[in-house]
Amino acid sequence: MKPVHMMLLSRVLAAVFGGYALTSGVAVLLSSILPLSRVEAVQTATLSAFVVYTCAVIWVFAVQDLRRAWLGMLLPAIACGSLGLLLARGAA
Amino acid sequence: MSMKLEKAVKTPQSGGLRQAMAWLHTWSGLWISWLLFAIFLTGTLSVFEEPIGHWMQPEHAIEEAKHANEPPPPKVTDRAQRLQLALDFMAKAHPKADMWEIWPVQRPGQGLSAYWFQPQGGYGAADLDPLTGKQIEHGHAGVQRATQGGHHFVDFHYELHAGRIGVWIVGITTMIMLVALVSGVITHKRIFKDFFTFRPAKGQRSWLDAHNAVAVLTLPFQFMIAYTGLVFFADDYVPAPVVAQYGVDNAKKSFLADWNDVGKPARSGQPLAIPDLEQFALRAEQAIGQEIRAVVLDNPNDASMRVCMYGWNEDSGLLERISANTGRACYALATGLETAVRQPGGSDTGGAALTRNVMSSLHMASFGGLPMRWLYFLCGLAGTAMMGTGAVLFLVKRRQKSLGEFGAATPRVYRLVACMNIAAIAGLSIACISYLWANRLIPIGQELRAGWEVRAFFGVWCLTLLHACLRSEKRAWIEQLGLLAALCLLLPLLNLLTTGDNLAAQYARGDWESAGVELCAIAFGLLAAWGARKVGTRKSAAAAKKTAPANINRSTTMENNA
Repeated sequence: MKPVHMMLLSRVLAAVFGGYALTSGVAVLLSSILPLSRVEAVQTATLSAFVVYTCAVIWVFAVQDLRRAWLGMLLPAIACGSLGLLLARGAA
Repeated sequence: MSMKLEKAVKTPQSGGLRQAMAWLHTWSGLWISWLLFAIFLTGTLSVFEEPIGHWMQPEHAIEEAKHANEPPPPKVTDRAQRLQLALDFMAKAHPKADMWEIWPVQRPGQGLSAYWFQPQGGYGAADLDPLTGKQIEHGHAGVQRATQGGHHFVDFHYELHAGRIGVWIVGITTMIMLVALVSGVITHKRIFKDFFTFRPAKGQRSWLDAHNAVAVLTLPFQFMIAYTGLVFFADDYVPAPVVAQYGVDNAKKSFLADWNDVGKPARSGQPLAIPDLEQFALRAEQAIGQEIRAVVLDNPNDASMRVCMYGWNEDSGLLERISANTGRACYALATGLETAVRQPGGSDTGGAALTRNVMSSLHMASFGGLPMRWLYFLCGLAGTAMMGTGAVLFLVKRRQKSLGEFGAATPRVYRLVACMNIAAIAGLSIACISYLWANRLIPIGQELRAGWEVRAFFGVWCLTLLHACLRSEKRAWIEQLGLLAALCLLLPLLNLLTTGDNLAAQYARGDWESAGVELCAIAFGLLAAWGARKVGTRKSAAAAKKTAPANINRSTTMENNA
């Protein structure tokens, strides 16, 4: 595979899987911190997920630096995801 | 991958935002345009699921028309007695089920039905005789014209008749559509100016103008319909928040219980006889201001027993609000106390659930009556046209000058795209009208008849792809559009020959559902005939080349980059 194709593949993977990770991370965080009942917070987070995903994919294809695209997906995904899991509501 | 390498290689991103977005729009749009065209056309037809189903059961339609002039049967007033009949049936037939649902419908033509959760899982259903409470067996399948009717289009447009896998394919496609919409808007800087620009009969420019016009005109609709479409299966697509908040085991089930079944009581083990439910139905009617449609009994014969009364949406109510939620009032039967009331259009849990509910209603046009359905139909057709013109534009642009994106394989890829365009646009349309033809041509007694109609749809679609690959591009377009025109224009004749029904008779008996289907078919037929004629008189590729330079000089950002 030529370098240009490798980079394209990498960027597509960053958009699809990195974007999905970021979407999930943000959704988990939202569902934990929104000042709503559990079911309402989960609904709100789920309904907003596709806005996050769309913006993430657009951003990945807009930035020049491929490494920045990957980091821009994965770091916030991990940060939001772990913070969200830490703050997750109990079974109540 | 090293930074050095990245700088050395020219990527769409190195040309700035607009070029990057144009690249994204072109390539994300191209690969999904064929499937999206199919999803949009069948989704648009789904708006008129009921009239299509009505047309596809002509025996039923004609039978209905015979009784049209009779006065409607009197409203049934023996709800208390029918509730009791259904309770007796359930106590005898399904005593172990922990949810009984009874529809003691008072409206003309509606009878008495019972539904329940099977102890082993699943939903059971029985139609009961409203006078005796005996179960009615539906044994006359041989006489009826078994069909999925318009539901075939509904099913196809959200799961491609492929169950869970189909739901995921449609979901991913819709997600890419959102990306294509946003990148298209960013690319298209002169969005409003270009909306007022249409240059007919100018080849590539006309295709671009048409693509822009239908997209910009209906852009809010396209965003809305894509986003609300994703919402139906949102917690399947993005399960992370549900799992994070409800635990890994049974997360979805607990979430659904929290969302749809607020306050469902746990079984106590103490017995309690079922009281007279009619008095609760009357109380609920007072509380929610709607006639009662369904009576749902949780934990029958247990002290924790709860009954919830669901109202019936009047058509006039759905002209005033978008949410199709009915009213609902619940009572603890041990104490007789009202435990929860939801007004029509309200929500059990709050704003988020109501938002989701409204999004579903927005997608299905379950509000606003017939004018709204026509608006959705037209916007849906515009969306379909957006997919079609986009896919055609890709090739029209490259017909003048190959951009060599795939190296030596480029001509083969272009040829493949051409075949896909024909089979997706003309072919899918042929498949849709063939489905209606199959409805009239497959014998009524045929085993698994409804399945054969759907097989005809897919079979014809495959044949159009084969045909598109075997014929030259221009011939394939002309032949398929011609066939489409013939099938659409001859549909009323087919109906006349097979059932004796025709537009004049439909008009005479006021059957606008059947007449509407045939008139729409004629309209689509004329459109296809016009398309076939346009392709037939089109200048050859060589002639088009000569006029190309003038176009290229004046091209916009979008054309340069797409």
